[in-house]
Amino acid sequence: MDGDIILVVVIATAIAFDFTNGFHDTANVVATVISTRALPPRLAIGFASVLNFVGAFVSLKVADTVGKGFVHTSQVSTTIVFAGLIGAITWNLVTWYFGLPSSSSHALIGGLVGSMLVAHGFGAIDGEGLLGKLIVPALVAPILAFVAAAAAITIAYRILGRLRPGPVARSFRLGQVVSGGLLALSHGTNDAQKTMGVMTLALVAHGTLHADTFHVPAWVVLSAASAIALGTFSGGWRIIKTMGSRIIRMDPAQGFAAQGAGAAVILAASGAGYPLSTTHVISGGIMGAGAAKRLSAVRWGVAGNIALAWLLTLPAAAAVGALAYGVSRIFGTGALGPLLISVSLLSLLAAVFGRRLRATRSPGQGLASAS
Amino acid sequence: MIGAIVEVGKLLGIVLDALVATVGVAVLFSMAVLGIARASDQREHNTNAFAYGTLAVVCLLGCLAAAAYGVVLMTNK
Repeated sequence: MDGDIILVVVIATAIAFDFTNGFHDTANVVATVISTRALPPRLAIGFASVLNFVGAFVSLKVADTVGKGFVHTSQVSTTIVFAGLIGAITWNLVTWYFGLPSSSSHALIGGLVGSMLVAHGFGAIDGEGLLGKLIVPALVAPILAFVAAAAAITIAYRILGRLRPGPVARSFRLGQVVSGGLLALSHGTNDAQKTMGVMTLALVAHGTLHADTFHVPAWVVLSAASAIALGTFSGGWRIIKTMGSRIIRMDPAQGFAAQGAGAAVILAASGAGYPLSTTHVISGGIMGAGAAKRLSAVRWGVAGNIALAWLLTLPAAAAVGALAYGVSRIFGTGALGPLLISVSLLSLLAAVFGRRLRATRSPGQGLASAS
Repeated sequence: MIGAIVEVGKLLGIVLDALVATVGVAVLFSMAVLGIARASDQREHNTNAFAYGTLAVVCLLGCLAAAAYGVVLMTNK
């Protein structure tokens, strides 16, 4: 009975994480499009959420399931998955509150690593996998997107130098709609798949599914796709504002270069099986597109805050994951611990959102603080 | 030791693919915009816009092919 309750709590938590993932990462896809007025904000978000939903069905090969390659999956239990998800959700909400674009995927991996550490010790962690498949690619990816976007915008400006700016801007806005669509589709595929993998892992750990006939049930696909699309549709305006206008003030050609670099890096890396962060890549692309025009065009203070959030993502999510596992074990191996933690987190969320809602209803609040 | 853990060859491949794809698409799209703008100017001056029009169409088709290849890559993941 306890096992069934924990499974329900884990599935609900995974869906909640998927929602925060969409909510948090809306900016990756729409910030540049909104900032350059390629699409109106609501239309851009609606477009991104539909493509996120479709993207979740594009590929069902859960080869890059979160946890695989970083922790020893045979030792994973439903409570460990639950604690990892709590770590990831908490970090996503903290970074959203401060308007910082950080990686939901790295938060999820960090949360799982933290709860595994407390549950089984260092032996349960694949340190080489963590370094080789996550940390080094995570350092390379934003630098690569930075260089690629800088090269692309430099060449584009050379080609377009003497043309009238009006028609050029209109053309690049159209190009941004296509490159933004590609990004939204790849985001839906990448990130919804990770949640599907976690939910399926919980079903295997519970015994509902057998490990040797590992497949993702249709209801898991549908719920993960719906949650990420709904999260995207809810739009995290704070991060959209940071990525769209606080790093650089971009023109449509820069937006196109940043999105193009982002899509190219993500697709090249996913072909090689690296779980890259869309957030890191797009942020790197935006900075590159700005710096190529003029180094001082990039607000390096904002960029520094973003980099700090990236560095803290793994350890912070791991710390919360470890704490969540430790607290849940105080109440034994049953369902009481996960239930209490879920109720506490929901109460905290209700309090924070209630405060935000009251703040946005008061006069003088702008669009940027709407959610 | 790091070299044994990190797949350097694979990472270099990603770097090369991403750079070629980003710069390639940016060049194609910029050439398409240039073609459209020049063809439009030539039509306004009643001169033959065929060459620039063809350049625009070919480059746009190249961009669409790159986007389609991206979708194929996603489905094969």
